[in-house]
Amino acid sequence: MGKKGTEATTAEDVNRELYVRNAELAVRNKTLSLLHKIDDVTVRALETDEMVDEIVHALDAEFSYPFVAVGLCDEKGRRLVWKAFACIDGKTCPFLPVESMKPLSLASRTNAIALAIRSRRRRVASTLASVLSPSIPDEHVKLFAKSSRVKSTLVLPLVSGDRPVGVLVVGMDRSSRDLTAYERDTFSSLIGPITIAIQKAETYARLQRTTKQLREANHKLRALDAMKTEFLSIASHQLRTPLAVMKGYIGLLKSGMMGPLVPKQDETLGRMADGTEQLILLVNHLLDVSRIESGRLVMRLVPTDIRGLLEGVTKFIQGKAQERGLTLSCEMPEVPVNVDVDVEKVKEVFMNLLDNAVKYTETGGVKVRMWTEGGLAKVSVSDTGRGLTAEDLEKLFQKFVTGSASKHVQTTTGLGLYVVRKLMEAMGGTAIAESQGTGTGSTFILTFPLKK
Amino acid sequence: MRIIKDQELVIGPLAWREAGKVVGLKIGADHAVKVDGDSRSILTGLVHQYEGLFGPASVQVCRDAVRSLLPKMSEEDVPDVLK
Repeated sequence: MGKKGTEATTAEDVNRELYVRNAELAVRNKTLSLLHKIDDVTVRALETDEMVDEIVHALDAEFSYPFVAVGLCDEKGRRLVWKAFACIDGKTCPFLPVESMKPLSLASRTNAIALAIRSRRRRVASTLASVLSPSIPDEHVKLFAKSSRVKSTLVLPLVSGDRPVGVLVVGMDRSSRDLTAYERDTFSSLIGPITIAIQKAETYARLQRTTKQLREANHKLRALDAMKTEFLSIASHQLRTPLAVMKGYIGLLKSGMMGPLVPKQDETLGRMADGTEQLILLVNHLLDVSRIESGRLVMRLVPTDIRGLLEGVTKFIQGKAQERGLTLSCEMPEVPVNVDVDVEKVKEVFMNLLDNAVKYTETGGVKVRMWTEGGLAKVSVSDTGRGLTAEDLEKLFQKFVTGSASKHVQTTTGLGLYVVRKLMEAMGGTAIAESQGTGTGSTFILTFPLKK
Repeated sequence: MRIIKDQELVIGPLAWREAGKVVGLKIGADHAVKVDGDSRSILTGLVHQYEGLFGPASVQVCRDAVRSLLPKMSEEDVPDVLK
């Protein structure tokens, strides 16, 4: 062979090699284009059913298969539920719509889908019955096999990690050995994205279900909470009157106005008085809570010099402090401290804090201080009591929460500080607690915006 | 038509020009294809036209192009080269 002949052969070889490469690229291009189409479907569709339906129709349109179907495993992985089924000729699918196809048991020893899912490997079924039975009646399988001319069925399991998600089933009118390069490329590239898309859609569906359940549960809880508040309000009102009567008569008996008492009777009446007082405190707190939570808390804000209010409450608590052997001091500015407050509510707040301070202090005393700073009136109540842990400080102002020291006192409802903070907030103020820890005492600080 | 279109994906517009050289096949300006004569021998001629230039790989592309159509065609209409 001459030089020219050799050059011609080389050029021909290069030409053919380039053709082979180009043919591979052309297949890749077609696959990518189809993947892009499928990707577009998966991004657009949020519902699983809608998405798989669009996917099977896109595949069916691209390859003109007799049928393409997708089934998904149920949550327990025991059954396969058909989600989409596309036929070239809808008339030859008497078993459609897909909702009328029965779920398939994945425990089957003969069904090709069950076998493919269990082995996590693709399978080729030579008969339609081994794929579609018993999901559709045998007579329909026979009819469909005849009209669709399906010769082989590809069963491609959709697997995420080791968890089977579902299956892509492709019915072909030729042998599975006759797959084109484009088809082979498509199936190996498509399974992953379809699986991810289905998982995304299932997660979305689960999220929707959970959101709906949460919304319903929330609605029920709100209704129950409203009923509870209403019940508390009614029950507390009904309790307050007899408790006031009891308190009055116990006081009369204890004073000796209804006859002299022997020491044991006096002691018993003292216990009864304590119990009644605790009950009254609880009922008052419950009433406050029900008013706050039902939005029926009415504030009558009037400009007030709060020094007088604090002084009055301090004097009231003085007796109790002395009984417990504690000192109680009060330090206040000499000039008026005017703020807009509801007088009764502020008294309740002061009373709560001072009563707590005395109650939780065994030795030492309680210091009350009022001062002004940066447009605010501040009141602090410091004690030498048991102090508060970091956990106490975090939860102290929540409903039905008591501090770690509460086990040492008898009269506590777990509502006092919750009420204090809510009342302060309703008056535009704040309530906070400070403590260096157990055994170091604690300080409660209230702030009110000063009247300009 | 399917064969020429798939060849176009590989070799570009040359696919149409080469198809125009096949006896019995007329390609219009808008790529409309007219078959004049025995379709089986024209199909064979088309496959050989590409094969002569690009070798056996081009026959495979022709086969893949019509693979999904073959089950719908009668056996005698399908040229041996595409089977």
